[in-house]
Amino acid sequence: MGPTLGYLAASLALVALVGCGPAAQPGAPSTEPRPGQAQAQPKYGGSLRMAGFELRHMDPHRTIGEEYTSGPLYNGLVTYKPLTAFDDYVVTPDLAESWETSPDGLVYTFKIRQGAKFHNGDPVTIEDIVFSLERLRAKDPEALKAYLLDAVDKIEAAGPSTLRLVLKEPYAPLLTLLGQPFPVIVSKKLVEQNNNSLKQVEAGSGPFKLLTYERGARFVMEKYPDYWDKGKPYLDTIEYIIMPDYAARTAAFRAGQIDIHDWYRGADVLQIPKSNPDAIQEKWIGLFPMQVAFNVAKTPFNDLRVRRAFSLIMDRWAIAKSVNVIGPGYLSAPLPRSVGGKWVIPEEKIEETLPYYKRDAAKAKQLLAEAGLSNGFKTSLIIRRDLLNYVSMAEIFKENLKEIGVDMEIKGLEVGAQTRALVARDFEIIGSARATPVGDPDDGLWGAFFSGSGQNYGDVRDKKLDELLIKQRRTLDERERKKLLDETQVYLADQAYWLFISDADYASAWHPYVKSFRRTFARHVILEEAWLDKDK
Amino acid sequence: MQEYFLRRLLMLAPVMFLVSIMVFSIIRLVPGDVVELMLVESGNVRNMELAREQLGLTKPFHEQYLIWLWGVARGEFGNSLWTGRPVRDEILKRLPVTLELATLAMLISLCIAIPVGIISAIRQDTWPDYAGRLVSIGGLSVPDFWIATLIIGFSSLWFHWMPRPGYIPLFQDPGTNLQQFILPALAMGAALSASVMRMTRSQMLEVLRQDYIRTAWAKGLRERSVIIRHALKNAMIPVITIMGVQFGYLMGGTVVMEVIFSLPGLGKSTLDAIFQRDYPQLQANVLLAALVMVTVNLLVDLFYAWFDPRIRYR
Repeated sequence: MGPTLGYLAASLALVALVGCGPAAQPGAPSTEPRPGQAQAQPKYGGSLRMAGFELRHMDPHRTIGEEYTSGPLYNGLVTYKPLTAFDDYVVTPDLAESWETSPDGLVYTFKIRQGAKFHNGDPVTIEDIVFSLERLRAKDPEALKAYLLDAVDKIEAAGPSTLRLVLKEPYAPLLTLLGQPFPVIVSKKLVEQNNNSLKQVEAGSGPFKLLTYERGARFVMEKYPDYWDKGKPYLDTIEYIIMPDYAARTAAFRAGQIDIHDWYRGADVLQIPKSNPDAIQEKWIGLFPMQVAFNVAKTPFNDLRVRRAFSLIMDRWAIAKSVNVIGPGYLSAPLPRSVGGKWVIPEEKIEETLPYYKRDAAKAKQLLAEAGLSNGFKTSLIIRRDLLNYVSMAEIFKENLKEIGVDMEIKGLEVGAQTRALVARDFEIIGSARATPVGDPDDGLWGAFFSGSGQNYGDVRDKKLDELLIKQRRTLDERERKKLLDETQVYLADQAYWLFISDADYASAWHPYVKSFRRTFARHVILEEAWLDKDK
Repeated sequence: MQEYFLRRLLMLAPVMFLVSIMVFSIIRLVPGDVVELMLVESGNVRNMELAREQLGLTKPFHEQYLIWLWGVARGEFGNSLWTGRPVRDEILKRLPVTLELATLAMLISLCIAIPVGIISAIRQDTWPDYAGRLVSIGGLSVPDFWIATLIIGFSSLWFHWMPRPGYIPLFQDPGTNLQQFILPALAMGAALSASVMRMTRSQMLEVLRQDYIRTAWAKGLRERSVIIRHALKNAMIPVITIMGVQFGYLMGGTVVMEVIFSLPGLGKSTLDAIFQRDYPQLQANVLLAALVMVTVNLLVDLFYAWFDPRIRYR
């Protein structure tokens, strides 16, 4: 796992659905007015303070973590509607006013809005847009999100305000993935002036521009007065204070030194509403589920019966409880809620829908005996030592395996060593083999499970699975696609290439004077909409 | 004396050279490299060799070392493999933070340790002595990060107060800066004071038994004069040694406080460089820490010679 998302995983946090149970419906947050109540008038001004991690650099096309901090500097073609539940990715116009798809799903035509400007005053032109998308998928080792545009064959300007994307085959996830923080539009001129690097320089057209970046201390953005969405943003500045430690962030939030506290879990989820009863907290699940991957190329994990036995003996509920601390926790399926709530199996149905999830020690023993391993064997699990939820999981799993005679050694490694083991495929079982997928199910399935794919570290080569994966990404009809995805999830659980384990409550909180805000992945719009009801 | 100074200065070169070889090799022995860390999530494994080439990591070991060493000799420490920025800039930005924290921690340590050590010594085996020794054991045993987290946690919980997060340099706003530094400095200083206090106490006890002290008492000098002007000065020598070593340690040992209090210092920079396998950053940080350690020790030794006329170096 890369360090930045790895840090996120270690630091545990994500906004969840309002509600306490696994079956919680996306509810209206308390920031929205109740029916019949007049909408409060937004006030202009003020500085929003948030806490964040250190940025590696600012280049949105060459990074996988920093965009959540520097996101407000940029626009993309599309984005997600703000103020929705976090797992509700509603694609809305950004620099693209509208779009059309050809009936065969191969040609997307975007109408680009006029009047948008970069922060240096230059207009956003169709050349900049074509340039930016090509830059995202350039043949550069650091073009980490190039795969988002894998299905796109040609990127063309079909007029001064028309963009055309021609695909090789129908690709259902395209629009949702275009709303992610990576396919953003940058100024071609500035990129060329800076030796093709935006690491230390920003070249965006977003609602905020960079004011100052003091490394290790703060990342400050200020309102861009010539923003194309007239009247927005409301805030004067956004200050990201670099605070790597979660206890310090909680303290800062309690003391009113930061306005929003992102992505914490555990006892804080209960404590923060107690210490700050007027703060608004939203809980959610589905961003840091745990899973382990088998190395299918190594015996005995090439034997389906052994993998199923491991799945049957694992006490997922015990693990869920030990990790969640404040409640019984949740089971997790191959697709977590972060890919979009409309695609997932509801949490309370997971155990009955997915095979080999219900614990059955007798059946596990029987399967091992059929595989000729009734005397047990030795194996090892590699986990990241700094991810405490994985440490808990590993201990419990080790105890479970003793019941069927398997002696599993737990190897807790630090990030770099675990990464090396993953990349070199030098493992039998390994945790954290996949970064949490966001936005679309394809993000969580293709890379990890398609034969020969770059992130397929467990070496899964399954024809039937490949066919399912190809089919689901080509199916544009959502109902059809959901059926295919359900089938895929059941199949993945049945083949047990990976064991999907459990998930926990995470939360975000903000003070009551932060209005029109909900913590989602909608990059810049959430900060464009937000305003402060303070007398400062 | 001058000869001694020159000899010690010359020894600096081989020591630094040895340190450079050690840090260069050891970090490369650790499994995993920066390219894997950057690319693993994207699965962009095809590009790993290309990335390594671009960063100069595919050249033979000795070639990489000589290229780097030649740069160091010219004052160029290379660019960070992780951020792409010059390593030197990062160090220059972070050094003041660590220096300020280390200095404040040492000052607080002294303010606690010396008086308590003296009182413990002159009132040996009475309750002030016991109290002092108890406090010092506490300081040695209790982890500074625990104290720090308690301070932050409770002050925010009870008083809804916390110093403004996000480092502000001293000369920009001394008030806020000191607010940000006083808590970590206190936590560290308390921990550091323990060993200094014990050394002060034991040295004072030894010195107070000397003949010349007996003479001073016999001459009828006041207690304060005997203790401070006659005894303390002689007792200080080993204490200063400890402080020198502590300061060297502090150049990297501030890392936990830096993380908890969000202060961008060299400690965290070095830790991150290790986890990220950022070789140039790590090498430069370690060289700097070694240089500080060696220099501080040299200064301490020179201080002895100046301070104590009995010590003459050939």
